[in-house]
This record gives sequence, structure tokens and C-alpha cells, in this order.
Amino acid sequence: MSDLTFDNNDESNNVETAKAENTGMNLQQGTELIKTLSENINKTLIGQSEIVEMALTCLLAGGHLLIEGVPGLGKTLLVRSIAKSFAGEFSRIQFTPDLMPSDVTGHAMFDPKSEKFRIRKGPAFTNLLLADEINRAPAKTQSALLEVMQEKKITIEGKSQPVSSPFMVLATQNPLEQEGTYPLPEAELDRFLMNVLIDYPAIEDEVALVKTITTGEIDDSILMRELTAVTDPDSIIALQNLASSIMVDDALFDYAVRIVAATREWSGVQMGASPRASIALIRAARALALVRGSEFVTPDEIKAVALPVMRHRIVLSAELEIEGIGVSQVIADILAQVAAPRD
Amino acid sequence: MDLEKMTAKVRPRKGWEAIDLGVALVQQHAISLYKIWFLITLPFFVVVAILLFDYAVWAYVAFWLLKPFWERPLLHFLSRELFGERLSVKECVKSFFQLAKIQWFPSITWRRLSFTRSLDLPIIQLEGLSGGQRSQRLKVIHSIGSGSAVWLTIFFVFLELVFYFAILALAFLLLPTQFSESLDFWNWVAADSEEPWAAMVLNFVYYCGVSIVAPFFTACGFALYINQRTHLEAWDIELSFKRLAKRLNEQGEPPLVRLASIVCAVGLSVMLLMNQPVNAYESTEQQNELSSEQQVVQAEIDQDKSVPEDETVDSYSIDNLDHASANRLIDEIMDSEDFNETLEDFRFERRFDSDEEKSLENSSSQFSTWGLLFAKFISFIVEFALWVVVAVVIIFLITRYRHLVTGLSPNLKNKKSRPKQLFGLDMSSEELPDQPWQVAKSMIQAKQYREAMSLLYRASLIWYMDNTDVVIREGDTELECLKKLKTFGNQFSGDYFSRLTQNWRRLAYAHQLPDSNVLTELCDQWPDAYVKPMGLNQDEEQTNE
Repeated sequence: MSDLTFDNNDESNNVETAKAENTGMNLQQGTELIKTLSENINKTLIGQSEIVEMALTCLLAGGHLLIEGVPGLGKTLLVRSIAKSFAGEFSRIQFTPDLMPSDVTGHAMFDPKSEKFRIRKGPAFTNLLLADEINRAPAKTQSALLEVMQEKKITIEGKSQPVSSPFMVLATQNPLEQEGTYPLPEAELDRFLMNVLIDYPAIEDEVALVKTITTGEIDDSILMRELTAVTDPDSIIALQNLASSIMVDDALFDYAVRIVAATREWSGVQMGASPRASIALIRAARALALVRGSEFVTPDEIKAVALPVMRHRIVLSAELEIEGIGVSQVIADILAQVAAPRD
Repeated sequence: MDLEKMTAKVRPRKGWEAIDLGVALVQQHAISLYKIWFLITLPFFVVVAILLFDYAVWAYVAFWLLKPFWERPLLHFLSRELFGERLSVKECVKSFFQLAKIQWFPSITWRRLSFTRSLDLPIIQLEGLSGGQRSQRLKVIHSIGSGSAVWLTIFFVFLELVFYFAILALAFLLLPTQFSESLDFWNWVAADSEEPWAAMVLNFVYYCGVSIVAPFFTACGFALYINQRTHLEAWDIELSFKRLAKRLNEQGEPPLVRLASIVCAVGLSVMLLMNQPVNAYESTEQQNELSSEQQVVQAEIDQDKSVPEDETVDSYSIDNLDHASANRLIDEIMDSEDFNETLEDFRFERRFDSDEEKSLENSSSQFSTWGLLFAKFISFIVEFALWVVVAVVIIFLITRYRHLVTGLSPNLKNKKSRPKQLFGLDMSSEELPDQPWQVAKSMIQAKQYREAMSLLYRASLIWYMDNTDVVIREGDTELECLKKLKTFGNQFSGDYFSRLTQNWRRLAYAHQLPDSNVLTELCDQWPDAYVKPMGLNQDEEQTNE
């Protein structure tokens, strides 16, 4: 053994413990709570643990989630199970071509009895809002979500009203059917923190799912029936605060911004990601670190969230699309070429 | 022209892929292209239609003849757009007369009927060459095949006809029955009507058909031109070099490395130029200079080998070399000693077709025909088996004694493939101290904990890169490195690297210093993990020998 001496008061030895002091929840409690939440949701949504992890990351980062996948993969079930797990309010809007903005946000109606206008709140006044098949409604209706997604407020008759907290929009899109759909405008897409693709479960998971649902049951309600609330909305807010205090080294801020900036200079990318993507990248990486039980962010978390965070914020040139090169491949190339931070 | 700004992926394409790219260009810029087209052609068409109302055929001929002029602003727009420069419609329209002046007479006379018009237009308009240089350039661009451009022209001629008849048929179908019954469709289609307005309507239909097709024709021709240049001038390789140079610059490469890169790039360029066909390097003035130099060098080589010393190099330059003297020179070379030397060589072989064998065969005293074939078959099998044995022995020797080869030329392969810098760390083992763990210890004593950990981590990575075939990319994170490296080395070095990575990550990203014992252990165990295993292996091998 050598005769080394350590100065514990050294500046570099200052340990920043992630703790949301105003909420009273420390990292260990937070990690345990997230683990319980995750296990609870995974009981219902069998074989989609990665999607559950991303959904929880998005929830803890205070963002909104856009889920793409073919019908029958459990997109709605995911939202319902998250809502039930923290005893939050849940609303579902099935977007259709004739849906009006007021059907989402609410409207003022005349009450003959009181001879006054009364505000009738729409389904957006909730904790978790499922916008099912969001691209089936025209841009006018889609835009009704812009304000509530960004500011978490809804203006009806000139009066702003806050929505419940925590608030999260989970929108779904079907990638197969393009007939009669309206692509989401860039401004709307940019407001989603993440865009995840939900894929088919593994064979053994699907077997377990089918066995659970069909044995002694006449419908699919068993999945939701078995689900219990394991926490409350206030704890989710505490977890969000905890996530925001997860430590990020300066080199990682630089790394995240370099990744986003690379999309703007990349050959074949018509529109790169905006600074909002850099913010989203760090926010999501912090939340993912918390979900994984870490008290600090590493480049791995940033790389893990880079694809879902940037996938919907990049527009490829027509030439690249003709070549059959997709956004995922471009982002993978960028991640491989942007140097990971070390010193 | 900045290739890095090119919005399409730079790669050599097949003809149909290049045409696909042209179609994609029009799809992307359709509004601007059609605006430019109609702003230029529609006024002309209206004016000609009015002036030549009674001579509709001449109006048609005038519009058809001047078509190369109409396509030029479209090409002007596309050529800028592909390289990331945005031109407004107004700018393109304003440049029409200036562009129309370039090679105007050939364009509407002999080049008007050229099947490769779409491919030639970019050369004439964009390269700004004249006279012989332009002809040479056209030859060069055509040298690797212009079949796609020919088929493109044929296809679009038919497409124009299809649109012409389709529009007429549509109009005919939409006419009320009382009109259509009294109208002779074929007379109408064939412009056989004596009514001038009817002929002018047909002209307009033709104009509509051409208008739909023209931007696609121009863009596809331009895409073919870009593709020919990508093939000839290796744009994709050039772009890769530029990116490489940019990355090296960003990483602050030492001047020596930069110099070496430049030398490599220049060397490769010269090799590429030397391998190109003769026409390819006669395309531009600069390349002409290069070709002249190469010819002089070649003449010098020839002179050394076979030409009498009193003849000068200039006498063999291309300018002075006519057909007769070239033949004379070839004859001289062929008559020289180098080509007439007689070498005697001998070897032993069994000749089954020799006279002796034939006589033996005829006599059927020893071998029958079947026996001979069987012997041939056996000899083939034996020869094949022997070669297999030799190959197996060579592979075995290389595998068994590869450390001796690496000992003779230490880690040449690894040094070549390994970058000097990786994720901000200096990856050159020359820069690494001989005993990194000792230096790390002294750094810890000097309270340079971060630097000490960094040195240990860097030294470990370098060890793996020097002693294994692992490939680490710039974008790899510590965990990804760990995942790749854990399978290499022995159990202890794997566990050690795992602990080192864990502690390094906590220090780097959480600013959490490892416990003093852990730091000391990491320093002390570094040689156990990486130095001793190598030493043991070498000792074992020496003992075996």
C-alpha cells in the first residue's frame, strides 16, 4: 500500500447528491418508487419494458410522448396503466376528421337558468391525456393542443385556466394507414419530448399475455382490474423535481448540444433539430438517469434518449429518403461520429 | 463548388438511379421550377401565337427549336440548389438572356438534334469552357457511357407525345356529344384542320405537354451529369477526405499528422489520376498540365529503356509525335534488347502427349487409356491435398507464432488502424509513460486525482487497442467500450477494467472521488491486469520454444 493522503475538503471531492429538498424525497426513495411504478405497469403491459421505461422517462421529464405503432400493441393500455398507477385523472380523445378544437379544450355555453355563460371544460383538463390517432384530425384541431402542451394552460373565452398537474399528453399514430390522415405540423411535433416506436413483443411475452387474458376471462379487463395505484400525483411531481436536480457535468451539456448541432450540418438533412431538442435531450437524460437509479447523467443516457428525442425533429431531404435511408440510421451515424466526452 | 454542401448523397450511381435523383429534385422544387418555366415560356408562346396566327406550324417550330434556351434557367436554378445555394425565381428569370447567349447557335442547330442534349447542357452552360477544351470535356463526360442520356431523350420524346394525345383525348371526351359527333378527331389531332384557331389550340396542347415534361428532362440530365462527374472525379472519395480533414482539424491534430494526411491525400490523388483513361485527364486546363507532365515522365522512362541517348525528351512529346514516328518508336522499342532477350529455363515434368508416351500408348504395353486418365486423376488429388496441407501449415505457423511477427514489427497493424486521438484523449502509446501506474500514484500524491484516473483509464484503453483487435469508435461511451473490451484479455483484467470504468464514470460525471483505498488499489493492480499477463505469456512461450 502506498502512503497516499487524501484531502476530503478538496473542491473536486464535493459530492452533489441529487435531492429535491423542497419535496423531501431523496434519490433512494425516488428510485424505489419508480421501480414499483415500473413493475406495476409492466404487469399490465407485458413485454414492452423499453417502452415503459421511455414513457416513465417522459413523464418524469415533464414532457409529452408521441407513440407510433400498429394497432393492438397496447398503446392505450400503456396510458391507462400509467394513469391508474399514480391514481391520476385520465382522458381519452379519439381524433376524427370532424373533431373540433373545442371538443378538446372545452367551450363556453349559455346557461338559460342562470342566464350566464358557463365554462364547460374539455377532456384536456386532466393528468394524462390520450390523443388517440392524433393524425386523423385536421391541423386546426391538432393545433388546439399547442397551448396546453407548451404552457399547460387552456384559454377559453379569453381566460387562461391551468390544467391538472402533472400533465402529460400521450398521442398515438398509426404508421401504416396514411389515407385520410393529416401529418402533424413541425410546431406540434417539436412540442413532443419524445417519439417512440412500439414494436411487437417477443414470442414468449406474447404467449404469457395471451395466457393471462384468455384463461377464465371473457374480455381484456383483467389487465386493468389487477392494476392498483401505487402512488399519487404529488409523488409524481416530487419525482419530476428530483429528476430536474440530477447532476449533469458540463462536458455532457456540450456533448448534447454537439449532437443536436450535427443534425443541422449533416449532409442530406433538410431541417435539423432546434435548440429545443438540446433542452429536451438533457431533460430526458436526467429523467432516464433517475429511472435507472443513477444520481448523475452519463453519455449513455444521452445516447439512449437521442433517438426518441430527435427522431421527429429532423426532416430528411427527398434524395436521402429515395435512397431508403431513414431518420434512425442518420441519427445512429451522427451518434457514432460525434465524439463522446472524456478528459 | 463545395461538395460538402451538396444536398444529395454523393455516391456513384447507376443510370436509372441518377434519373431517379433528377425526378426527386423536381419533386422537391416543383413550384419554383414551374414558375420559372411559365414566366419565361408563356409570354413567348403567346407572342408567337399572335404574330404567327396564320402560320401555326411555324409557331410550333419556333417554340420547339428554342427549347434548349427555355431549359437553361431551370438548370441554373437546379445547379445552385443542389449545392445548397438558394436562388429566387426572379433571379433565374432575369438571368435568362445571359444564359441564352452561351453557345446559342450550336444549341439550336446541330446540337438541337443531339440525343444527349440533356447531358451536354450542364457542360456547355455550367463549366464555361470554349473551343477544343469544351469538345474534350464533352468527350470525357461521354467516355464512361451516355446511354442513359440517349434513352432519357427517347423516353421523354414519347412522354411528350403521350401527354399530347392524352390532353386531346381528355378534351374530346369532355366535349358535348353534338360537338364531338361532328368533329373528325383524327383531323383534329393531326392538325389537319384549315382553321388557324384549331391549329393554335393544338400548339397550346403541345405547349402544355412540353411544360409538364421539361423540368424533369432538365433535372434528370443534370443528375446524369453529376453522376458522370462523381464517377470520373471520385467525388465521393474527395468528400470523405474532406470530412476526415475536417475532423482532424477539429481535434487539433499535430502538424506532423496533418502533413502526413496531406501527403497521403496527394499521393492517392496522383494514383487516381494516373489510373484514369487518357481522355479523363485532358478535360480541364489544369488536368492538361498534369497530363503533359505525365507524358514527359513517361517519355523519360522510355528514353532510359530504349531510346538512343542523343534524342531529346521533347522529340517524344505528344505534340511532335505523328503516327509514322510513333510506329517507328514502337518498332525501335520492340527491336531493343529488352524485348529480344532469350532466356533458357528447364524443369522436369511428365509429358503424357510426348512421342514416347504416344508410342507407349500405341503399343498398349503399359497403360491403357483408362489407366492414363486414372493416373491423371490421382496426381490431381495428390497435388490438391499437398497444397491444402501447405496452406494449413502456413496458417498454423502464423497463428502459433504471430507474437514473433508482432515482435519484429511491433504492433504495426494496430498503430495503423488506431486513431491518435479518441474522445479527447491522446491515444498514442508513445505519449504514455512506461509505467503509467507509477505516474498515476505520483499524481495522486500531488492531489491530481482526476488526471491520475484519466491516465489509468487511457493506458488501459491503449493496452486493449495495442494487444487486441477491438475497434473503438469516437462515439463510443465508456459503457460501450467496456462491453466491447470485457471479452478480451483474462478474467482479472476484465474485472479490473470494469472497476476502473465504474470509478472513472463517477469521477468524471458525478465529481465523486473514489475511496483512497480504491484509488491505491487501482494503481497497484494495473500491472497485474495488463503487464504481468503479457509477461507470463511471453515466458510460457519462451519455455515452450
